Amino acid sequence: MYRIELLTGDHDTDLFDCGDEKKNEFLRKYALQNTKGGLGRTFVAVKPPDEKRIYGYYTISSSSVTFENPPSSHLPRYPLPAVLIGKLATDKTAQNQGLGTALLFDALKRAARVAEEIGIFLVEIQAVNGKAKAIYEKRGFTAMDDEPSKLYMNLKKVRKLLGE
Amino acid sequence: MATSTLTKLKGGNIHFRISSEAKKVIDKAVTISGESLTDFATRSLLSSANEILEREFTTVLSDRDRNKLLAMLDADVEPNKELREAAKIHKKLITE
Repeated sequence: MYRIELLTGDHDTDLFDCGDEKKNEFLRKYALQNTKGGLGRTFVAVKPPDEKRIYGYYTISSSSVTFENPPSSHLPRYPLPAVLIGKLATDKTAQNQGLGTALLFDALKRAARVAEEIGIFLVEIQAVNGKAKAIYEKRGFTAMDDEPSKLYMNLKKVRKLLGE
Repeated sequence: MATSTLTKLKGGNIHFRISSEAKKVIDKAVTISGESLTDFATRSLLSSANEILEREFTTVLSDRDRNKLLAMLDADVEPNKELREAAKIHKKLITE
């Protein structure tokens, strides 16, 4: 069993290796800095009782969506606020065991919780490649056509699940 | 000139070399603005940085993507089988 917690200076970010050097570097160098600078937060999966080693992480922040041309229907306000799941990665030692899926749902759960407080319905996720995109689509995200790396989900889906 | 609130903050340093032509233009602008060079540079850099960050966190959608997104917000509210499965995997692997 893993526990998800906010990344702090006590976690060992050096050991983490997801196979994607960019995502490793982000965790090592920028994740904590971003949290401190108000640019979003990074949550990590640790395994009690060793709470320092990181087996996976995701970042969550706010984002917004605007349109080249406004829609004819009336929307409450512009731009549309969204919760952004920016990065999601699992350590090589924990891959293909469901942790990525668990992290994704944890991020969605967290997004649904913060979003509900302030009346947001939209969650955005960025896919780094076609494989990631296919995984997110399978779980119910909708991919954009002209912004192919961006996918969105209606948080009502997650709320429904949490309410059951 | 009043002590800058920006330079009083504990923070990092930025050092870089620029051409004497560029420096002349900047010095002129700094004199006119009445700010210190540090405040002027900080304000200018921050403004560009914020613009970039804003762009990074804002998506501008085309008409067809807009329609897709709005339709989704309107009607796509039922979790599918795979999302339910993700919830179950979460329950199994993650302790509160």
